[in-house]
Amino acid sequence: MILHSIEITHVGRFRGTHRLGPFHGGINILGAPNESGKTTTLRAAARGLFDRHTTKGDEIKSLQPAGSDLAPRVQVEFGAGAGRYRITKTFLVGPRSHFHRWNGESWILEAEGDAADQRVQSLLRSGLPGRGATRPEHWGLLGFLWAEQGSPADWPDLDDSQFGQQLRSRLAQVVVDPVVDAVRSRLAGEWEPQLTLAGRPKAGGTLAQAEAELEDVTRQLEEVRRLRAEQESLLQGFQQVDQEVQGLETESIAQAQAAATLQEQAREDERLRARITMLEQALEHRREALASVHADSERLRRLREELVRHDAEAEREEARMAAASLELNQMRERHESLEIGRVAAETALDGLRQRLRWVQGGLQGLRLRAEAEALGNRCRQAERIETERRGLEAERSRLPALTPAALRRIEALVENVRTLRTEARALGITVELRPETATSATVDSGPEQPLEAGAELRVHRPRRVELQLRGWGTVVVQSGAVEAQDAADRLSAAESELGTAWAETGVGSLEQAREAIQQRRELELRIQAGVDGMKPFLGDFRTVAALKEAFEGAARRADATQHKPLQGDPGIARSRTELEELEHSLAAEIAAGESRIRMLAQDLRQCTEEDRKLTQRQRESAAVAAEHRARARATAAEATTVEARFPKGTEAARSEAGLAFAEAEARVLVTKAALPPDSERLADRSRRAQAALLQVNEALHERRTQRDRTRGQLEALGGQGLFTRETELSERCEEVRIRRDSIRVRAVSARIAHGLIERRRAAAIRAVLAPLERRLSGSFAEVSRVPDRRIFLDGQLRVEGIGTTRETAHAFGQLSQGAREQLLLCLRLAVAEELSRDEPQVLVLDDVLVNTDPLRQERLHDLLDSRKDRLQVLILTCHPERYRGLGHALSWSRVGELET
Amino acid sequence: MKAFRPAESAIPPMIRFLHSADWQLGARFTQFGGHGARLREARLETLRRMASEAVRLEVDFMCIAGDLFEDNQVADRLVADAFAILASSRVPTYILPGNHDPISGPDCVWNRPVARHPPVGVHILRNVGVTEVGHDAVLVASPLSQKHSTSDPSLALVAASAAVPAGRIRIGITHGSPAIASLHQENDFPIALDAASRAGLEFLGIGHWHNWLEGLDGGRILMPGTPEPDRFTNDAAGRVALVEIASVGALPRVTPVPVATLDWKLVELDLFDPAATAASVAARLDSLLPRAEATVLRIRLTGAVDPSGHAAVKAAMEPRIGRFPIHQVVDETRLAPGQADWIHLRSGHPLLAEVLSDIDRLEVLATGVAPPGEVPSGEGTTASDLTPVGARELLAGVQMDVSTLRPEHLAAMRHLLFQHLPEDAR
Repeated sequence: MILHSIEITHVGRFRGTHRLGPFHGGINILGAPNESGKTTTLRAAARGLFDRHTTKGDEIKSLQPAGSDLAPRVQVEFGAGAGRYRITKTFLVGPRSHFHRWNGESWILEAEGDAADQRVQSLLRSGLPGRGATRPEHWGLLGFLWAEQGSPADWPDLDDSQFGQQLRSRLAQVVVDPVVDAVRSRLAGEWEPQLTLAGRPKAGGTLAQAEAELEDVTRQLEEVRRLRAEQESLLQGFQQVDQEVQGLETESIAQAQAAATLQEQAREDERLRARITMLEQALEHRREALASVHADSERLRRLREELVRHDAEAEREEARMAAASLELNQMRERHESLEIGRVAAETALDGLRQRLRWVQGGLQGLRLRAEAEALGNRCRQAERIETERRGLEAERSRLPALTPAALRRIEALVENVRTLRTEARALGITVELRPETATSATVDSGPEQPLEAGAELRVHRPRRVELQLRGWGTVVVQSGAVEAQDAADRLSAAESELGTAWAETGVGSLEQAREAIQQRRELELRIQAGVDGMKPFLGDFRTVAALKEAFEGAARRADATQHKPLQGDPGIARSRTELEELEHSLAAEIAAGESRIRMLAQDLRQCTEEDRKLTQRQRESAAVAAEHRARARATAAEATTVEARFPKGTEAARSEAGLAFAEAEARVLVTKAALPPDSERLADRSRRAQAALLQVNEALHERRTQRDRTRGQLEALGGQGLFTRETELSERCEEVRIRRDSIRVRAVSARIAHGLIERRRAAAIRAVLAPLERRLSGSFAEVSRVPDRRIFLDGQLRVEGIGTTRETAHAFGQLSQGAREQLLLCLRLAVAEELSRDEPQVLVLDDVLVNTDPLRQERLHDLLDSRKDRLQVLILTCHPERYRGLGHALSWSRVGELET
Repeated sequence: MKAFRPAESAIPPMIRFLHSADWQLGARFTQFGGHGARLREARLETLRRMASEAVRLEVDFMCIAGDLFEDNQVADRLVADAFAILASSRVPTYILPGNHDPISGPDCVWNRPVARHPPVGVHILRNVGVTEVGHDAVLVASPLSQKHSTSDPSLALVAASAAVPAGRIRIGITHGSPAIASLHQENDFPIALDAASRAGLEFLGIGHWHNWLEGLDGGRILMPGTPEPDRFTNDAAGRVALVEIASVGALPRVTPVPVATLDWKLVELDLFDPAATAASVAARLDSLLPRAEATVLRIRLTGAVDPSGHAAVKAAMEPRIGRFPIHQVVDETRLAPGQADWIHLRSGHPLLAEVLSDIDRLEVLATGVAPPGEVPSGEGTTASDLTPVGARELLAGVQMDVSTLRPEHLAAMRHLLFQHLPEDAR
């Protein structure tokens, strides 16, 4: 729809009739100060378009001029589809409505009254409220495209109104299926009373009631089951205790019998033990009497034995004393003999030692002689080599003093001379003479040389040669070349230097020089070989002279140790081997002699010690013998005293005491044999049996008490009919559970199905929102100059956010007021563009950019200007200067007569 | 009472009695929720029927071979009621403790005051032993004192029976499982298959299993089953046995006597052909209606069905099923829109078609198996793009994850979607 003109009568501050228009395609600007009636005019136009003419609400009354009862009249001329229409409505007083269509020449009345209202409603796809005036959400597309003053950021609720659905369907080109909506709504009606948004039972719902009832019944059921489990446990306990009681009763009877038997046995044992004690006392008396006789008899025997022993000991000691005296005498004789032997041995040893020293002196002389001879040999060898070396050195001294370096210099000089000679020969004058007959010639005043016929004489000179040929005369050949003379000079100098070199080295040719060098090298090698060959003979001596001096010293020492014959020696010169054998023999004899002397000294010491001991033993034996004699006398006196106690003799006394003891012992044994087996343990056993019986009876009493108590508890529980109670509760529980599950399954299933529908709807809406989002994003990018952001819309066509992705987008509510009003303007623009593909649309902007900075406002103007070919834009503003040049300026014009 | 004898009997029997077992009074019926009380009350009614039959048949006594009560801890009131019913017949009744109500501790039902002093004519067989029942007959009993045992309780009958003088009819009574290979548990009181002849008994009445079993040991052992069925598979239950023994050594004559109060009926319907199923379920339920008050009814619906077919079956079922006081409907069907439904959905409500494919996808994620009746492919249908992560986020809103998503949730989602589809859109 687009607007062509608005005409109002008795509306707001407008008395009479005023017309706004005609509107143009593109941008129309109604610029006027505040309270000049801009918004009032547009609001009146909306009332004329969308409200029933019979409406009397406050919204309509507010159109009336203040303080008047005049009937507001509105006439709107608009285009919709392919037609051009006009609706004229008079409100409140004599309300009426006329709908006209322009047929190209004139207005044709097509409907009146309610029919006129409905025709407009149909054309604009608007709705009506149940009662009262319409609101923007009833205004169809204009309600969306009409941004009212003061509410730039508002957005109509697209979900709850018919308009929202229409708009969405128009925008998204989605056929919003009312059947689906009905199903969706009914599904919501299924689950919403039962479940919260989180999926939990909702308070007050039948599901929650069933849950509560089920919980209550379950609790009761669990209590009954707990009691049953307790009862079962008690029963098991009862059966166990009952078995224990039976076992204990059996055990108690057995224990009582065993205790009684043991008690009787213990009593008899006690009686027998008392008798045994008495008999054992008598036996003890007999044993003591017998022991006394035995002791006296034994004592007497020991005294007699002791007397004999003392006598024997005294005699033995006296014999030992005599033997010691004899042995002492023998020992002293042996001592004297040993002393004589020791002196003789020492004398012989001295002789042996003297002979050994003589032999060792002989051996020393022989060793020195051998050493002198060895040095002499070495000295001679060294001297021979020394002589040879000196000969070689003399021969070397006779060779030219030519070193390898001098040789290399001579070789260079020779080469230089050879080169210069070749050069001089090439540059100088060569004359070849070959006479036909024999003659002679003189060259440069030299001696005359005979020339054979046909023989050739070649003469070479640097620059000039003078020949005197016999029979022919003098021939002078001369050259003007200077180089030949220079070459000859350098040759002469070189030859002179070479001659000097020959003279210095003492050789006449290069071959001699090389031979001399070779000979010198060989001589030096031989000299070095001589030096090396002498080193073994020199040994530690540095020179041959030192070696020789050592040899002479050794010879003198050897002569000095000339071997002299020993006294008593046969005087025969002995060989070294013989002397060494003799030395070993004497050394062995000396060692044997020394050993013998040591042994003799040891024997002497032993004899001295033995002498001391024998003397001591002699004294001791005398003392011991005296003591034994004294003890023997005392023992004899004591034995006489003991024998006096037994007039019949000790044997008779022992027989009487032994018989009395045997009788007493027999009585004890007979009594002990009468004791029961293990009698010594009977008392303990009896006590234990009594204690065991007591314990069994106590346990039996305790178990009986426990069993009776459990029996009572079981009887009490048994009377409660727990199974019956559990049965009733189980069935009730199941009934409630089935009911609960039924409600829950239905509610949950409804919720899931509802969710599936929502999901599909959202997906469909998202799919078709994409072009709108792109358009909106592009428009806003033009305004903000931030190209990479996207605007995201939700399923309600609300701006969800702005950003690069939906997940990271900034929420619409977080944006600034300015950004929001710009964004909404862009959204309206995008929606209008989308809708304008079907038919032209009008976008009304009633002072919507109050929070927008001038730069962005300018950009918005650019944006609007670029869309003016496709949209009709109506801008209401109190700042017309901001929109100057942007579009067509509008103003009210007063109309003289009202059209009827 | 001995005056009555069946006319067709050539030799008047020396003794006749009613043998029953496994009454399970006080039994629990959790799966029936609030109907449990009614089911328990039915068992007492059946007990009254047996007492009436005992009077009518003029039997010498009644014996109950174990498990009169479901548990040792049933309420005293129930015990008193049962004894009162039995005593009201004035026919001597001999009750043997079974494995459900063994005579064990002080709390067991038999040791409580209510059973210590039973009404006249009611006798508790507390111990292994012999009880005179008149007419030169004795009852040789082997009661149970525990819930499980690998011992054969009939072994005790051998010694007890041996002490009975010759010339007496020996009627054994005990509780346990006939030792039939593959049918009994080792710790479930196995009873030798020749237990009666082994103990020299003319008849051995046993209890434990809930279906009638006869012909054991040459016809001398009988398991009568439970007199009141307690499950839909008790197809040989609901009877007590009239036993007649003519003489010492004679084979007993056994006649089943129906006493059950309630019929347990299971109606299973595969909704492959909804129209036929709707007619079938109506006919089946109509046939059961005369005994609706005495019928425990379970209807089990299975198979894949389109919403309209499902609705048709429900419409046929619902007005009738309300007349069955105890009923269950186990709906295991899977709503699967037909080809025409899909075309309609795709063209009219594509979003719903996508949501249905999402539910199928949820089923795959939850079970790992694609549901049968896959969404037919075609233009305009978007395959589900629900990822495991998306499913997790979706289910987080109901405090669930795919592992806790059960078939009933998926079925409910499909049902709800179609249920809430406006009438004109279906």
